[in-house]
Amino acid sequence: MTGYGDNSDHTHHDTSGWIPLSAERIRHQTFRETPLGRRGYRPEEVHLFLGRVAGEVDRWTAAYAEAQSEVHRLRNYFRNQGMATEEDRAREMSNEAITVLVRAQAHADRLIADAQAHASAMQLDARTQAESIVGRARQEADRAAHAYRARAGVEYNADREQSERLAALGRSILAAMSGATTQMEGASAQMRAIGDAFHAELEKLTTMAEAHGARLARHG
Amino acid sequence: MDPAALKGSWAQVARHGDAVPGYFYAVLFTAHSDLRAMFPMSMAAQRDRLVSALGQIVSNVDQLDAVVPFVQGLGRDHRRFDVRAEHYPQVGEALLATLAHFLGEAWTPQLAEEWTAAYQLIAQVMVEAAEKAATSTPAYWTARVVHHERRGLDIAVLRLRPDLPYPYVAGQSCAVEIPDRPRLWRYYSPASAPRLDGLIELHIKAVPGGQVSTAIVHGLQPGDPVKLGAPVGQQLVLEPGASRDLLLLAGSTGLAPLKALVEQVAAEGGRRQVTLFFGARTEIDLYDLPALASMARDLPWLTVVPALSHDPWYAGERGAVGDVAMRLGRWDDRYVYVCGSAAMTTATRERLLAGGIPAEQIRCEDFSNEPYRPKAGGAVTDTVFRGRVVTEFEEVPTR
Repeated sequence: MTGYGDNSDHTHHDTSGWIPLSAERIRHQTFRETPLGRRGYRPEEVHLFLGRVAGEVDRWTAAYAEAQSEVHRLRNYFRNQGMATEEDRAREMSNEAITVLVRAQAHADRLIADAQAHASAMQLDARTQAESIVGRARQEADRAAHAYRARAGVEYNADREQSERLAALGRSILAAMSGATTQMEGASAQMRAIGDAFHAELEKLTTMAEAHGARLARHG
Repeated sequence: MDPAALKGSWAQVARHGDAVPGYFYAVLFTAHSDLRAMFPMSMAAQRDRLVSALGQIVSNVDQLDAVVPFVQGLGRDHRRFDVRAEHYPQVGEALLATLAHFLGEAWTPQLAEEWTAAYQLIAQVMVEAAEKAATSTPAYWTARVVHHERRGLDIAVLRLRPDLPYPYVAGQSCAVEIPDRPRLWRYYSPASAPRLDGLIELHIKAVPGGQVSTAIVHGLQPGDPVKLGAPVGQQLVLEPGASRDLLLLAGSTGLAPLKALVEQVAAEGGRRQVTLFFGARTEIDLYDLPALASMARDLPWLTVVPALSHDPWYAGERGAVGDVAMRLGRWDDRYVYVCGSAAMTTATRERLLAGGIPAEQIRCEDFSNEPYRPKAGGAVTDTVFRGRVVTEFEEVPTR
C-alpha cells in the first residue's frame, strides 16, 4: 500500500474544509502504511470493513432521500388540494379564536345592555307608578276634606277634617297597593322567565367557549 | 416619527368603528387570556375608551408636549386597574395586529416601524408616570363600609372607613369599586369636608338600570370592603383665599359635594354668606333635609331652601332649582356652584347665564374637555344621566 492519501486532511478532522462523508469516500479511503517494525491492521480487512460501512451508508442515504421526497410530495399535495400546513393551521386557529371571541363578547354585551334597559324601564315605571299613587291619594284626601267641610256646616272641626283627610289617603293607598300586589305577581313571573332565558343564553356561550377551548387543545 | 403617516393610517382604521376595539380586545385576550379578568364583563364602555384615547394621542402626536400630560394621567390612573409594566408590550402587539388587520395591503414595514416607535414612546411615558406616582400614593385605597342607610325611594347614605388616610379636599370626587361589581368604577363625591376620624360619607342614588349604583343602594352592607381611586376634580373646590358669598344649587345627590363645601366654609370660620338650594322631584326625595335644617339652625350665615320639581302639593318652593333660585334673589355678586345630573347641570347653568350671572362665576363639573369620556348614547347609564356624583355614569379615568 503506497498511496499516501491526498485526502489525509479528512482523517485529521480539519473542520475548515469539511466535506460530508459519502459512501464513495469511505469506500476509497486510503491510509498511510505503518513504519517497518510497527504493528498495524491488515489492509485487506480494513478495506473489507470500509466496504461494508459504505454499503450501509448507501442504504440509509437512499432511504432518507426517499422519505424526503415523500414529505415534499405530501406537502405539495396538501398545498395544491387546499389543505393547511402547520403554520397555516396555527394562523387559522388563532383567526378563528379571535372571530369566536369577537362574536361572544358582542353577544354578551347585547345581553347586558338589554338587561340594563329592561331594569331601567321597570324602575322608571315603578317610580312613575309610586308618584301617581301618592298623587291620586292626595287628590282623594282633598276631595274628602272638601266634602266634610260642605256637610259639617257649623259643626266644623279642624281635627275632624284632618282625620277625614288621612282616612281617604289611607283608603286610596291601600286600594292601589292591593292592585299593585296582583301586578307584582305577574311581574315576578315575567322576571323569572327573563332570568331563565338569560341562563339558557349564558349556557350556550359557555358551551361554545368550552368547545372552542377543547378544539384549541386538540390542535396544540 | 412621521405624524402624517400615523394620523392617516389611524383615520383609515377608525372608519371601521366598533369593529376596531372589538378586534383589538379579542386579539389581546386570545394571546393573553389572563388579562380578561382585568376588564368588566360588558366591554361596551371599554370600546369607546380605547378608540377615543388612542385617537386623542395619535391626532396630537406631532405636538408631544400637549399629549404628554394626558398620557401621564392615563399611566397614573391605570394603576388602580392593576396595570403593570409587563402588560404594555402585550397591548402593543395586539394594537399592531389590529392595525395590520384593518389596513391590509396598506400595512407596510415602514408603517409598522412608525407605529412601533410611537407606541413605545407612549408606553414609556405611561410606565414612568405610574412608577413616579407609586413612590407617593397607593394604586388605590381600601376602605370598609361602616354605615349604610336607605333614604327615600332610591337613595343610600353610606360611611366608609379607609384603612389609610384618604387625602381629599371638599368638592372633589373619588372613583369607587365594590366587590359585587368588579372592574366597574364609578365616581362619587364625599359629602363632608375631611374629618378628624377619617370617615367618608357618600350619597348614592340608584340610577334605573345602573349596574353599580343599584348594587350599592340595594346590596352593599356594613363590613363590605370597597376600593377608592385617588381623589380627582378641581371644578367644585373652593378657591383658596376667595371670600365672595356663595350660592349652591344641588339636584338630588348632587348635594354631596356642596354639603362638603358648607362644612369647609364653617371650618374656615364661616365668614361668607351661603345660600343652598336643594332640588328634588317629590317630598320623599329630600333625603337629607333634617341634617341640612340642623346645620342651618347652627350656622347663622347659612340658608337652606328645598325646591321640588314634581310635587304639586308641596307647601314650599316648587319648580326647577335654577328657576326657584333666580325667582327668590339676586346673586350677581356670588360664586355659584352647581351639581346634579347632566341634564340638571346644563339647564341650571343656562338659566343662570340668562339671568345675568357671569359665566366665570359659575362652577360645575365639566367634561367637555375630557377626551377619555365615552360617547353619548352608549349604555343605559349614559343616556339616562351622565352627570358626576349624583348619578352613575361611565367613569372618566383622568383629569
